[in-house]
Amino acid sequence: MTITKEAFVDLQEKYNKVIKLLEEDSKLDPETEPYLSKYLARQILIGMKANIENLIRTEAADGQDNIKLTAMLGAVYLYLGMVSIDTEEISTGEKHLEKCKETIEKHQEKPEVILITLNMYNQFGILWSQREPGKSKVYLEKAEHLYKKYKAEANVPLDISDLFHANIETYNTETALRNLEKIYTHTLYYLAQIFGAMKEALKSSIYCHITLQRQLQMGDYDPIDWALNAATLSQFFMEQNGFKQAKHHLAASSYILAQYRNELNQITERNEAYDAKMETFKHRSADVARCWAKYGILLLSKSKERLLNHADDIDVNCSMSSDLSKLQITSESSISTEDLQHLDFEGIDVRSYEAQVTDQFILTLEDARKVFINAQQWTTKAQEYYTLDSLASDYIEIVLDQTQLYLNLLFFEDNPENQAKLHKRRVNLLENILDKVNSQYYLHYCRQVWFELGRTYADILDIKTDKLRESDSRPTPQALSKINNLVEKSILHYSNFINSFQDKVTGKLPDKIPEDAEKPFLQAYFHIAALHGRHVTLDKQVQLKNTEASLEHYKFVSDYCDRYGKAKELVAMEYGICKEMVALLPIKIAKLSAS
Amino acid sequence: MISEDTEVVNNVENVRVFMRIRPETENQDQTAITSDKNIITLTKSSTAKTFKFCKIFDHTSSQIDLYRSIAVPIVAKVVTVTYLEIYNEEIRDLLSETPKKKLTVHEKPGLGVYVKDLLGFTVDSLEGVTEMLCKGNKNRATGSTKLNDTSSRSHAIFTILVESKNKTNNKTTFGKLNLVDLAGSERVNRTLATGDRLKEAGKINLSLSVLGNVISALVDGKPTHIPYRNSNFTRLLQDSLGGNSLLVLEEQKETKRKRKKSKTLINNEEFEKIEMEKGVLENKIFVIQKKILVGGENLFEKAQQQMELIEDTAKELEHLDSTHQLLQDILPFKAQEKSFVEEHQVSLQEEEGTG
Repeated sequence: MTITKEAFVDLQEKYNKVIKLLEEDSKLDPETEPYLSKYLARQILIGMKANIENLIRTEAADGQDNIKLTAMLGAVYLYLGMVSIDTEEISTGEKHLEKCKETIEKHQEKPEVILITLNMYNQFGILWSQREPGKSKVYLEKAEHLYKKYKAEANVPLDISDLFHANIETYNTETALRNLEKIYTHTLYYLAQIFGAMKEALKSSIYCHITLQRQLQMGDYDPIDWALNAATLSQFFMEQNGFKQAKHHLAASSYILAQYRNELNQITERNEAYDAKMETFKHRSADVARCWAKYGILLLSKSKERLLNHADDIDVNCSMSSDLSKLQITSESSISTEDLQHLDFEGIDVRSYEAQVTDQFILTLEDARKVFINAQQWTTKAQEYYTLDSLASDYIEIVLDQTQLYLNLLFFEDNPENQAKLHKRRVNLLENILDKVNSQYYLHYCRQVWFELGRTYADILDIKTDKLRESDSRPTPQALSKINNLVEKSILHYSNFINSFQDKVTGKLPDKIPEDAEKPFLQAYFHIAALHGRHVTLDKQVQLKNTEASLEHYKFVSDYCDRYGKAKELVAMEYGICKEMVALLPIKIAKLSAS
Repeated sequence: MISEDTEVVNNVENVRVFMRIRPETENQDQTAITSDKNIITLTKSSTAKTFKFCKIFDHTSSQIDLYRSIAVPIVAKVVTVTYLEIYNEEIRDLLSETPKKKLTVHEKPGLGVYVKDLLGFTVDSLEGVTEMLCKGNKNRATGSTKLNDTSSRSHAIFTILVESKNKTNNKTTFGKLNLVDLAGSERVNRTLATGDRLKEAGKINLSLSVLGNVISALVDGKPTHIPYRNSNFTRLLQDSLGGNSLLVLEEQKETKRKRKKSKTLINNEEFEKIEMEKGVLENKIFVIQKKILVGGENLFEKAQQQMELIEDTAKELEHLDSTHQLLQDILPFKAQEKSFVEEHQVSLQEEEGTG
């Protein structure tokens, strides 16, 4: 007995209603009844279920519409499941999905059913993500596996909407294939999240990359979002020492932005919409510029670490690679070497963007300079958008990046004179910030700056004192006066840092410093103590005063740490020295006072 | 609950003392409390003590009563309110005629963070404040149905700015109060009520529009690496959130002399400091020695003094030397500690910084 056309038409109407409710009407649901459309859709779906079940009962077991009806029933269960999950009836949703699975069990890979199958596994993945990521992963990997198999067999799926289309003449293969790809992209995206939740960051990043790749291939992306996401992903790779991959992602990001820029230039009508787009473009380009700068900074920093850890034997013993595809994989890892080979973007040629800077670990000053210059150019670019007057916080952060860049370059510079010059540049950048911003509103930035300035002046001091010691001739008064000046400057900035913790009303320091600031606070005190001992003078009175100040500061740290045990752990090394000094210095003071 | 001396009130010009009695709870020490206008009487086992205040508010009084009674007479103030909503990282003015228009966040180094073109309304009463609040609420984005989609979060910030001129000392003070309505709070309550254990971390975001969030979550927790992901929300509340978060004060593990073979970098810094002290002392000695050679009056006396100084410094050098030795002994020990800490840190980073 064949099923009447009316039955199918009826089902089609109902299906269309459901889709409309779920995709359009649900957006207009009032705040007081956010699930209104979904509940309505659910009602219809329940009706459809009954109808289809009826039809199945009357249909012969080997009838031509058998698979189609099975698929339709599966689809209805799928939608019921999705709606339940959306309306937070998780266990009901689970039941529906289980029924769906049961229904389509024997026909999972058939063209009529495949899209439902993949969707269903995705939904199971979403369902279980909230309770047990491990189980979610299993379902999603099933979907992944099925997709690959289906693609390998090059079958054409049937779109779900076509399934419900009563008198269809030709199937929408294009739509079906596009939906197939969309579902798979979501599978990958969900897997990326699951791996993230399970703390498998590298695996997650691989899936994020694949998702980006697919968006690119399908032409289904917003260029700004895509560029920003690629740049963000590059930050992750950098941290894993994957500088090659990081650079590639940054290059891709720049490539896409350039493409978008061309698109914008094509727009002739300059209206508000255009302005908004241009603004966003400039904003996000500045952000990508910052990522490029971070790349340079981190490459120098990691190169430095590498050199320090393998002082003499670097070429022989260091197996560290800046290319993730060469990463040594342990047998327990869930990642395969294969996984790491395809972290580039097919379909776009970004070599010209990659050519600007190296992705190899740095060894020489010459190479370091090149990276430095490149990164510096990017910070300048970023500051075109993030100006002091408009977006001061970001501007300051970029300046801090610039000072970090100088610091990283310093390491590769052998000549102390040049080192001092680089420090001086840092000082200028940092002091400029203090001049320009209100420390009340930018307190946490000013604190960083003061601390950095304290340290930088101390670094210059070290260089100058080294120079004096190494020279044979008697130090000139000017040289000594310079030394003292540096000591004072360093103390000044560390003091500013410390005083910023004073209570605004009483002017006194609190008994306890907030935990996240405790370590630098104590270190600052410690540095001041040591600095007081570095004044060069023959005047006994001055020496006495300095030594007393030194003692006072060592004592402060010592007392604070005795009072607050946890703090002691933070600055264990310094604490030890403070205790020594508190014992030694009184002797010196006594001698100085006596004479 | 019971406040201080009444004498204080009369002596200090700018201080007024008021008392508000909270509703009675379990009165463990059986003290009877009665109040009348501005005198309160405490009676305990037939001993009565009285205290006098400027005014006493009993347990039926409300915050508004207090405010009206106490604050209003003292200060003349201008109260301005602003009300904005952050929805999908877009900022809208809820009090404007065109609430759909997107506004931008700006900063000026002297002013801090502000929203450009945000309207401020002056109100002269508490009723005015609540009126503004209601008006703004009407303009809030209607509840998105994409409840699974974490990208559609709407926060609202209602700000009350008070500029008050104190009549007694002619000083103007500014105060700012931010009332924040965090998005998703209702949803959380509902979930808690139903008992479903919703692990936010494990919950999958359906929309690819938040791929960026997923990727950012992978990057190490340090905020330095992805600065542009600071949401407008945190940016606007920057000054209210306090200046105590020190973003980057990374340990500078570098040594000043990279050729040094030693791997215990932190210890080396301290070493060098001690060496510096030594160096300076040596220098002083050297300078002094030179002075002895150059002529001058009372050279002998000076020589005597200087001999003593040299002795002292020599002793100190000894002392420092022994400290130096002590530190050197500790050094290998510290090296062990350091590598242990480093290992520990690496494994912590792997745990925390991912996902």
